[in-house]
Amino acid sequence: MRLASSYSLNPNPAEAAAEAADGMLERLGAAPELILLYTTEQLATPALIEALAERAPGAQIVGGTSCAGVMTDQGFHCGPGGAVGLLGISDPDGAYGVADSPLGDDPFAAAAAAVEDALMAAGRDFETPVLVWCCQPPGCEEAVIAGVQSVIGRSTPVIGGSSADEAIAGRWRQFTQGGVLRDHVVISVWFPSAAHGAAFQSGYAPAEHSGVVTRADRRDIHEIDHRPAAEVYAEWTGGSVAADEQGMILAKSTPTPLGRVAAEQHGVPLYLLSHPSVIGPGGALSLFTDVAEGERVHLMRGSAQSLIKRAGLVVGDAHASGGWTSADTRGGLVIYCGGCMLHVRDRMDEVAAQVAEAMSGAPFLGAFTFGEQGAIVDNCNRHGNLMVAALTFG
Amino acid sequence: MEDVERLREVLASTKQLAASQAQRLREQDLVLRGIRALSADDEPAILIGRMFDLLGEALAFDQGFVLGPGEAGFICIASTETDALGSIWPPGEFFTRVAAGRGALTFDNARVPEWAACPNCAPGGGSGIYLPIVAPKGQGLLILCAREQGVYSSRDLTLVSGLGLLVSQTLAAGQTRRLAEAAQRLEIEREAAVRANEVKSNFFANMSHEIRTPLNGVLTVAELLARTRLDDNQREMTDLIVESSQMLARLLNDVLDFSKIESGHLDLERAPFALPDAVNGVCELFAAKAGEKGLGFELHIGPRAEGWFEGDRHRVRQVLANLLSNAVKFTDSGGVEVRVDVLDDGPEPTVVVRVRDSGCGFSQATADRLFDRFEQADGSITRKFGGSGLGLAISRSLARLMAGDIVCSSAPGQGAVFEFRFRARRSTRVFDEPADLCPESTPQPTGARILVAEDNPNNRRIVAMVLELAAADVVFAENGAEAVDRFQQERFDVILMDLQMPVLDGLSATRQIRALEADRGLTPTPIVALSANAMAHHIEEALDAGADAHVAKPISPSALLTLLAEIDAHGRDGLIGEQIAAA
Repeated sequence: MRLASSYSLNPNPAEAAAEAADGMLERLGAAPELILLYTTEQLATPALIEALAERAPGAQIVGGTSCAGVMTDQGFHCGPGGAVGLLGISDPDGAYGVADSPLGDDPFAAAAAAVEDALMAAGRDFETPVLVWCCQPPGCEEAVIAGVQSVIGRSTPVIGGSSADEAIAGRWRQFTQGGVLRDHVVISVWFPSAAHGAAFQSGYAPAEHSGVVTRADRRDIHEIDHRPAAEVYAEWTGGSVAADEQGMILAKSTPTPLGRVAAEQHGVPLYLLSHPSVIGPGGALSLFTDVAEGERVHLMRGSAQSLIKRAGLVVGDAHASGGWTSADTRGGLVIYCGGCMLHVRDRMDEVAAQVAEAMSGAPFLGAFTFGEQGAIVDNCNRHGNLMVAALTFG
Repeated sequence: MEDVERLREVLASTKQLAASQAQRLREQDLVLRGIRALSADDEPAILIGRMFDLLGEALAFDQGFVLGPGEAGFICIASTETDALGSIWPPGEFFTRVAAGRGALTFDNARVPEWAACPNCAPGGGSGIYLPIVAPKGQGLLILCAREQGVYSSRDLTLVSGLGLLVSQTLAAGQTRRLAEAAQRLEIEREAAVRANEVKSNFFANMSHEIRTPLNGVLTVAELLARTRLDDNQREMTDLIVESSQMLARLLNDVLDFSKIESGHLDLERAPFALPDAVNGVCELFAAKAGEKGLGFELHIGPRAEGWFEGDRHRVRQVLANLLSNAVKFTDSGGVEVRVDVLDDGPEPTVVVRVRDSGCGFSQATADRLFDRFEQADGSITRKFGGSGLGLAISRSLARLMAGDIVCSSAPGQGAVFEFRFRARRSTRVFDEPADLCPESTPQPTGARILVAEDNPNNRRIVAMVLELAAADVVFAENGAEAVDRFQQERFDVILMDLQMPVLDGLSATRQIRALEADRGLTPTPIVALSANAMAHHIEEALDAGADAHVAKPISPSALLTLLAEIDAHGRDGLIGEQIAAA
């Protein structure tokens, strides 16, 4: 199994794809079985996929749009005309399959159908994949994970990120070798010949405040401890996010998301984060994750320094999970929360450098997403916000 | 706040590391417990039972199967489901891939095509772990099934792989041990077979002695009787006795040769001999027999077959005699032709002796089994012509011992061609080969003083009768000790020494006589070993003990007389280890 990354800042989608593909193929030295593709929204056009498919015929493609840029072992890449990043995987002894399905009204069924088709594409229609890599629009991630698990069970890691755009304007897209997709779930099943390690964490710590969700509707929290959610949240943040500030609060809420205890290990709680995105009429707080009534939410705090260091640390944890050191890794993938990226945008070179150091210079591709999926140490697949997911190979 | 965050980061990473290490410890613990539990025994059934127990402690599963390779596919050699034992799965793509070394997980066993081929064992659904394993007869699979769908992950596969590898290694070690034990058993059986063969060989050797002794009496007395004045009726009866005795002697030789070939004790000589002379002698004999039946007989010796070769002259003649005997026997009209040639000019060329007859011939089916032991063209041949059915089998074995073979071609009513090939190194050594003994030209020794050591009264009488023809002065000793005593008292021109005697055997007596001669500075007396022990090593032992020649019983009176005449004429120098076959 060999990996190679590349990128292009060319504003022309076809030319960007050709440049990136040429660089990747040169480094890989073999035809890839699978290409991970992440681009900014500007380049998400059919010409991009066509040019890539022309350069790497027969390769399957999985990926989506990334917020503001991409990250590789060569740094953080963001240009005025957008950026495209590739990670090629050549693994003749492995097996890979990619498929997609329109979400429609039933993301669960769409994900289940996509994973079945992806298994067929891998030629392993009844085998449990080693891992699943997914990409879907924000908003339906829990159903996607449940749909995947309905077919292959709960023990296989489901890793990925929700496609993102620049301004939460719905311009996110998903990619397969078939083209650029909108409102689709894209599932890839992996049977790699090399061992893998994965980690899924946030860079936040619980602060002193917490309360019970007493009224909620999917991703909208109306009340916490029987009080308007926005009001409670404003109190907890000390007014950093005002209760009457209706509308988008994504940037302001990034340092203080809400967290729920997803699991405990040896008495230590493991938190799954939810990013407050909008304050609605009546003081409702909209999140990027589902929340159920009765759940306790904690105010979480994270510093810019923590967000900068976090990605590299999570990559190190992925190596530890696989059982090898950074010096022995073949490279991998990093999904980094788009909100976090926007919060530390000016210091993204540092983030990329930290990841590159953790990868010991091995090729990697990083994308910035509006929702992250992975398995925390309890091995249960989760969807969270403001998270970092890392997948490495040893 | 920064400190708290840093602490949480460290804690998160530590938790990740701890979880990874816990997984690895789990794997190592399973393997270690496996080593402890499995190293105590390497019997496959016990091993696999313990493996299932260990796996059950480490991982939840409902059914376990161990499949090994079989002729028709994979066969269940162990299972938690007793009904599955012995079930066979056709070698499908999935099982074959796993057995070749690629472990796999399934989230729904009902979709695995291989299970459809064996529905009575199929888990029906649920998850599966499929691992390659080295079963006792080769690459196989270890399969663990759980009723719940999609419960296994690649970590479980890794966990079980460690134990699977251990079981494979232990099974392989057990297989090696069992192979070693089997090899040891085979060696013991082989040694027992060798011993049994030696016992059989000894039995044949003893039987040879026991049969030859009375046969010696019958044949020699018959020949002596034939030399007396007889009327026609008496001569015919005497001739019948001689002929029957000779036939019996030939059968005895066949059986002995067969025994020696079977036991691997037949050793060929390598001595220079003139090929044309060896062939001529045999052909003259059978030309006469052919002539008696009104058949033609032609011998053609090619120019390259002229000269000397190194090999076993006696065995070459034996094979040729067998082929010619059959050719004359099965030909009623026409004739027999012998062609001798050499195929190439190398230092060890192939000699080809082709015997063609115009006899009754035989079919291809008969040709296929003609060289089998106890086979003849059909049962009626035995009734009509007699014979042991060993001749061609022995001849082919002899030819193959000479790095050659015998092949035949024929058709019913079309005659037959037998081709005898053997390798023989060309020899430049000129050797004074003993001429074929010819009774008619037997020189008659006179007045020799001969000591005869012989324990059997009948044989003493027979020897006395033969030696009377030579007007010899005969002194008898009834055992080896007596012979040594007599030798100490007086000198003899020749000593005829039986080898198997009570009190002191002939070999020991010969050695003592040679020692006495050496001590006293006496000229060695010619000693002729006279024994029914006619196998090669017997002859060698006799010569090693100090005998100058060996004469096999039954004694041919003319051969013995010729030998004595040679001694009379040339002393010991005329013998040089001469061997005279039985009559």
